[in-house]
Amino acid sequence: MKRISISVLVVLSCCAAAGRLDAQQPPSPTPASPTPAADMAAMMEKAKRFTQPGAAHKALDRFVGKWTTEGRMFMAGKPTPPEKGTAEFSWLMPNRWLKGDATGMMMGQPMRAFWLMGYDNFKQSYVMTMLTGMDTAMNHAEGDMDPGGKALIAYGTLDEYLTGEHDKMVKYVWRFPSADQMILEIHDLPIGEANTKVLEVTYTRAR
Amino acid sequence: MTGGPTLAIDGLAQAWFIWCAAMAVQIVPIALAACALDALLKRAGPVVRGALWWTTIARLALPPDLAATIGVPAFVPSLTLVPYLSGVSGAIDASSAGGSIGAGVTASWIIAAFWIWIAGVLLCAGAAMWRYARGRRRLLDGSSDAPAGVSSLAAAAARQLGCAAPPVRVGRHVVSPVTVGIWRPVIVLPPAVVDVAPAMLTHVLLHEIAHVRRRDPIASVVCLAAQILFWFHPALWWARHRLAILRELACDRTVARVLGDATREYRRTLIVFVHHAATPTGTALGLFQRRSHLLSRIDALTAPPALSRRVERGLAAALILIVSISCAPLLSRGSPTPTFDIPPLDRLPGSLQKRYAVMRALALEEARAAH
Repeated sequence: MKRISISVLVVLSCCAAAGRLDAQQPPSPTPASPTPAADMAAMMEKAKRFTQPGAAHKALDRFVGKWTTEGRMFMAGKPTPPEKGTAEFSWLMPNRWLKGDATGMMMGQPMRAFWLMGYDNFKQSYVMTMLTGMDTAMNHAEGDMDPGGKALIAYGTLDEYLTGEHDKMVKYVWRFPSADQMILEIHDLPIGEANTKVLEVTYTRAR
Repeated sequence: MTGGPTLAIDGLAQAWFIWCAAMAVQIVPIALAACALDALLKRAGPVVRGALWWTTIARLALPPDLAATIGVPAFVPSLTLVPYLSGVSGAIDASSAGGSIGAGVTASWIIAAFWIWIAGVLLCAGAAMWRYARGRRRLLDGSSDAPAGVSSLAAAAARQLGCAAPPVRVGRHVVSPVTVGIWRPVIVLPPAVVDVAPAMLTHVLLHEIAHVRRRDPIASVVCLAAQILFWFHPALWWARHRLAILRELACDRTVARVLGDATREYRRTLIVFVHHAATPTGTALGLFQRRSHLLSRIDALTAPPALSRRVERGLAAALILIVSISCAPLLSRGSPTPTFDIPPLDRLPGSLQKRYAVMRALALEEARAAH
């Protein structure tokens, strides 16, 4: 009995000592936080970095100007006869958002297309939106410039009203063989690994 | 206005715009070519030069998308009108279907232009008909058959020109010899002319009968109709003006051929009659279309014809052909729907190729409906 009492006493003493020690410890320091002034400076730096156009936007300058176009589709591996048109790209907001307006023929029908392109600094991707006078869909795509700056490759989705399928993957490739020529390719990716190109438009700078 | 009539007017305005814009642009290079050749080929004679101007008017009767494979667009494809016209027509389609970005503005502009054009045509046509009716009434009211002597002179003049003599009348209100009417023209002389020397009267009758033989009244109406349709286009006004002058020169040339050495007397007759000349109204044809052109007419009569009649006609036909082939298709719409075979839908992988096949089928269906 006496031994149990001593054990209980020891445990209680330890608990009391621990409580006392805890009460005597200073509050644990929070992770190092900057002063309010330093916080604003960092935010401003981020804002500048992510909201101001840069070199990636400057790369879109190659689109600006008037172009004549020649487009053809690829159906069952065969190209259709070329159809001509015109296009004009200009800055919607200088060095930030580019707009492109194209008219021409597509499979024998009058066609008008509108592009909006830019570079999202935060995503670190080129972003684009496409509208055409041939349907009522607004399609989006995102992508990157290849390291050599010779092609802009973007991926997006489209909903196929003919088959009822949604979010089918589409690849857009803008190739830049020279300053006065560019080629747009559209690839229907669900086709498979090969022969995915379904449209090619060659843009030649108008003189 | 309900949806049905609005859509019909939209469609009409669209068809009008495509036709009118294509024509308005296409006749510019033809008119410029005619203008340049008219100035360069002064010695070629009025028939050849008139033929050049007729190509401008004849272009209006041909389909806007008529193009020759050897025409200029074959070498300069960027000159085709396809993108511009199709872009605008697409805008109208979009507007009719409920509108899209910027489309409504373009469409309303074209529809407004369509109504302005209609108003212009009605105004010009009304004015022309009123002038024609008033002129005919003024010239023929109170007129009487020409004396037997004058009629016999007319018959002799017609024989010399190789045609039947038209009726000749003497009008109380006529101050200058004039040919009135389109299908069955009548020559109306002022009372004073009946009493002039028979040689002078023969000259006057030869000139007027030459107009009838050349079917100038019909040509004049065709020119007027073209000008009414394209009342906004300076090329048509200029073409009609030039054709009126060249018509007079051609009649002078015909009279000179008949008179031979007596052409000098004909020149004197023109000088005598110019003092009493009045500009004919509407489609009427007078001895003088413009008094101010007397000198150029005298000048043309002084110089002997550089070409024989046969060569002149051959050259005119050749020039029309060259101008038509090289200029008419210059800004044609080309061939917007090249032919190719679309594979069956089940042989087209993916969805976008099916979409293109359906678009092509719709384009063909629209083309068939338009036909």
